[in-house]
Amino acid sequence: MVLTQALGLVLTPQVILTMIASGAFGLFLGAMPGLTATMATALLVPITFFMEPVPAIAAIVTAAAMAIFAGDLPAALLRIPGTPASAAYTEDAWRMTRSGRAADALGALLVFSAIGGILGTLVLILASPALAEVALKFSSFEYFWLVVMGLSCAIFVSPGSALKSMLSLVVGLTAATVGFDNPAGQPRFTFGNVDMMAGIPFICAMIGLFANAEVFRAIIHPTRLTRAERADTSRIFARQWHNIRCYPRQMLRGSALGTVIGALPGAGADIAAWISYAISKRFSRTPGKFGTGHVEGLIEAGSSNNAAVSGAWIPALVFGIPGDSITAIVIGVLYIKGMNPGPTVFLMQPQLIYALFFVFLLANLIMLPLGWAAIKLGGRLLSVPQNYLMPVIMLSCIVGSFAITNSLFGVWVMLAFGVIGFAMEECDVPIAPAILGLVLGPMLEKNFITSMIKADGNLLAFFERPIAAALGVMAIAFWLLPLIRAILNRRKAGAT
Amino acid sequence: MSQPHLNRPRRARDIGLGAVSILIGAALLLGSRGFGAIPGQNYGADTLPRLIALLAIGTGIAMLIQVLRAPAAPPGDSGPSTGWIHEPRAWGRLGIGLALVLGYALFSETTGFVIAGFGVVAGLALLMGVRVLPAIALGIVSAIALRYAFADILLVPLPRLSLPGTGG
Repeated sequence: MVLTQALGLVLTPQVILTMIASGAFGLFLGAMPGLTATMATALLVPITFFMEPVPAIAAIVTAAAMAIFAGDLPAALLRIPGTPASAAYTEDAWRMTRSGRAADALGALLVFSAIGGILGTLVLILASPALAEVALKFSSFEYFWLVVMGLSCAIFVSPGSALKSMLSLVVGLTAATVGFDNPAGQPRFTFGNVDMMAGIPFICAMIGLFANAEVFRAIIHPTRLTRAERADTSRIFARQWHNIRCYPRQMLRGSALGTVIGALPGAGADIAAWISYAISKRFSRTPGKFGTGHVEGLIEAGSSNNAAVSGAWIPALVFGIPGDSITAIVIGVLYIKGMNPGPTVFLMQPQLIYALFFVFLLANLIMLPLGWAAIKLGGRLLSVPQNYLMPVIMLSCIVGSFAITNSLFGVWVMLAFGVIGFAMEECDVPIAPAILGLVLGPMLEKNFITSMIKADGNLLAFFERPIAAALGVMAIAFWLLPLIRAILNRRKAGAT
Repeated sequence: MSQPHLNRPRRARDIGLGAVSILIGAALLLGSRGFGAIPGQNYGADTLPRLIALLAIGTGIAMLIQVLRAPAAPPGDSGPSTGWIHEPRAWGRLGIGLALVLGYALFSETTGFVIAGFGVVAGLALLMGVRVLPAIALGIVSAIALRYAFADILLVPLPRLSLPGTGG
């Protein structure tokens, strides 16, 4: 009865058309450097004032899911990730495009994003209360280890030297220390600049590190400015059934991990994608292929980051605690629409909650045709000669960075990080760990300081709670296992 | 683990990276001296910068040790792909590219977005070998299209033309 009512609320022309329109809007914003899923959500809020509750939430859910996927498009086509969550597998996706396998890469990103989102929604439907209970058991100790694991993954999965990845991480963490946003509330490294007090806007930094650096390389290496081969985006779904059959474990593991990490308030798609990519590499039969244009990591991390988007709704709906910035905005919309999130909403308005679940499923299904159209359009980008494309990308980056801060400060940050990113790439220092350091630095600091204060400086307290102990042991094993393996290999080589 | 062979440019580059890492660490240590702890606690604004400093210095030292222990590359190894470093023209192109973006940051509040944006796109296009007329057309079209998308649709307050006496 409730299910029928809920279906009746969703399957109306108004809701379907709203979802298609907001999906197209989310795709546009997600694919533009500098524009994020959070921005798409925020821009939709004033429009939702005039809508009924179900189409209002449908618009936001569809736009957010679509924007997260759309971040993969510039990553695969231009090596410019739209979101930090896409940065984990940008290298693989781009190399696949360069080697003529754009259809396989983009198809995998689209299909496994949708699958991750759907599986995450199924978990949301079936196990919200139980997962929310687990999520609420996470204190600063558990979050600290989770962040350490995320940062460790960035070091060990980046191609090339681990020491250079550490240097990249140092750059990102150093940038994360700038500003007022620290447990002591003291301005750090702001040099008296008012804009710096809010810290380094990481989206502007990311645009600089990836996109600007790419434009600078194009300026330096004019030989690369030939007309690129048009990305073959025909039959993007053709190989995906093969991928599902070859990598079912990766798909399920990525979706499950993404949902669980997404359900942790404040964690989210970025950590989920990185940890999933690292796990995929760790358990792969062909770890050497990662970073060279291999689809396996795309499948696991791509499923994971979209599952995390669904997972973030678990604490939001069950307890009214936002899992990420998007759900924080949506909770406000839910209140405006009279759906007060929390345990009572499941009792008082079950038809609305089930309607919401159907909206999640539908949003991920709509992603397939809309994503297909976006890939077709995006594929044409590569047929534009690079010396025409790069200047326009640079101006898009400038505007995107400006839009983040609504001031030229964003442009200065982008330019500074563009120079840093260019220098790093020219020295074979990977960029991705710097992004993760910048994103996770504040979370690392907050949880470390809070834990130290709680434990009165006793480091053993980081292992006293069962979940924290398990995560801590895993994080330490992450660092020790490669060392132990190297020592054993050396001994073995010495013995022979 | 076998040490990679390093030729002279690569060795110099990695020594430079190690030194940069140590310098970042030293700068963080020096810069965080003035930060205090949270009242009544042993930890505060200086804790994370100091931990990062230790990580940076440790990484730098490890990089230097790795470079010094690495065997020399056999003769004929052409070195890293950054051969452009010895080309003054490449430096000139990079300098002009940077100057165009710097110019946007410095002058867009006076000239407005469309003129400054046109300058960036047309300038970069010319720098990358596009002929004059197509470069101008590309600059005009992309500046107007992006202004429309961001300022008119997304309501981003892009810089507007503001000249003395125009009231803007």
